[in-house]
Amino acid sequence: MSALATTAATIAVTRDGLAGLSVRGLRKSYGARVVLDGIDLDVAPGQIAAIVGENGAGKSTLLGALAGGIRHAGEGWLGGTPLGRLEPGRTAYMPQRPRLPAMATVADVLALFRGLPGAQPDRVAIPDGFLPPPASPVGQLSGGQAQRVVLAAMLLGAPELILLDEPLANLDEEAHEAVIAMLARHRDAGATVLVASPAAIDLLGFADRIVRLAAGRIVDAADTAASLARMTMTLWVRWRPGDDEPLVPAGVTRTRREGGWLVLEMPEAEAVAVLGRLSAAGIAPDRIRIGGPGEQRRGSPTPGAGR
Amino acid sequence: MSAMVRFHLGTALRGRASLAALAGFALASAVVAIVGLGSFRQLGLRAVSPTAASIVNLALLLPTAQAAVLGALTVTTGREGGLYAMLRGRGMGEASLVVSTWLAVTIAGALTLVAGFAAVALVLAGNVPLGDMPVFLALLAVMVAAAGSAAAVGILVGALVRARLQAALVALGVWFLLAVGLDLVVVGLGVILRAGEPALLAATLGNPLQAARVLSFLVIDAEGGVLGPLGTYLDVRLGRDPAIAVLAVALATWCAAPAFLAARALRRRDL
Repeated sequence: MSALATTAATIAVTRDGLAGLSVRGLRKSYGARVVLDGIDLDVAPGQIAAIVGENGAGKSTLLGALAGGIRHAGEGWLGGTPLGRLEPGRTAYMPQRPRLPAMATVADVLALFRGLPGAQPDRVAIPDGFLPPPASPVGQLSGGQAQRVVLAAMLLGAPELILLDEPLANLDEEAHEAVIAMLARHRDAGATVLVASPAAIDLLGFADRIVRLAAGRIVDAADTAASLARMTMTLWVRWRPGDDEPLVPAGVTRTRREGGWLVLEMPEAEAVAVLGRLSAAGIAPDRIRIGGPGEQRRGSPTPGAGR
Repeated sequence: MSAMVRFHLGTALRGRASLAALAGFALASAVVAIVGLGSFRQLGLRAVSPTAASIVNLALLLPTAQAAVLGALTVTTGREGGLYAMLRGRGMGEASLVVSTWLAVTIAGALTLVAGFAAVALVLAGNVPLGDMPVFLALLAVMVAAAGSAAAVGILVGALVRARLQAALVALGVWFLLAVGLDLVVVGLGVILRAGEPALLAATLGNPLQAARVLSFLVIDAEGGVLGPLGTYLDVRLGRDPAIAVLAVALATWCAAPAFLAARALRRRDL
């Protein structure tokens, strides 16, 4: 075993016989463009890590490289075993916006992933009503329904490392909650889960750690609560012609106008207080959006969420 | 592996193109057999070989084109849509991805061939002695091997070309070259370069469809014009049984080598 491997094996934390993920010196470039620039990362078993960052930060490439589908330099281990030498069935990976063959049915997809070598009994049952009818061809499903099928297939068995790239995109509120519940059960059983998303807000409610990428490097990695306090939060307040200019509540660090919206930026830790001040100033909740005007969900991001 | 084969096969067989190929080949084979049967009644046994040759040539066109394009599209769809990446993430190696795809596409091509040969068998039933059945089945086996080699070539194209449309067009182009042009080019070059014998060998062994064609004719014990210049050359040069063995090995190599190269190409590229 190389010195690097020994280090990783030492670092990897074990829990109930399961072992965590260690990554050292992960690099990937396309020609001169460096996409991942020496990623070192440890995620313990029984932990959900949210990989966040802007578009092009390297989130998808990181997950793809860990899944073995993207060639890279550097090494990764799960419990001291190099990722490339893991037995089948120990990892599960969902890429961003997966598109399965249109003629495959829901039952075909599930049968495929249930029948792969290394398949184990399901650790988590798929909730009733989560999946479209089994005979439905994937090509006839909506984007959200197709994503449910892929997610259900990925969460079959008992994978020890789960890598999901924007799993909550396209999902409605019900599916959103169901996926979070399934991931939580995998985590509780000791699986290491990495979930990528451009916006941390989607993941704050259930992630244990936030790993922020920028330009292919990890710029911040901390427990959710600690990370939350350092993050910038954006609130959008709908602005109607003729409305009085609202007072900028205390705690807001920057403001700007975008169309019919007033954009308020603040440290994440101030978000709840700012929401309270907006409410006290008479701004109705239905005029407030978190994350952007297109964001349907409202309310506070429950600071300190996570385990 | 079997789960991946079942998935790819089920997906392929539900596609309109596969169903159209199956129905089209069955219909065309039946028409050729009916026309051949008329000649058989008029000309007696002299009509058997030309009829069989027509069915062989038909079987070397449609199912092999289907296999080449389906192979290329299955791989590019698997790569573009992320299915291969998900399977790789579950621990499936590139060789498993390629072999399962090859098996599924070859079986899809074989089903098309079975439909066509069944149509021929229905037409010929009662007119051809039952003793010819082993040769009939051997012909089917050679055609399945040809479809397998076309599938392997298509899969290699799919591993090298990323976009679906481009992969389908390249696979179709390679198939067209193999089906109609390559042997003429090689023999022509042989004449120019005064390399007669090597050129004839290369034209036969270096083209899976030509190898399958000559092998089929040797299997049905055809003679003279039906056997063609390449078949006649191999028959005279090697003798019938050794020629059959060499061609069978060539076809097996044409199935294995592109599949091996495809797995290697996938290993060296991002999925």
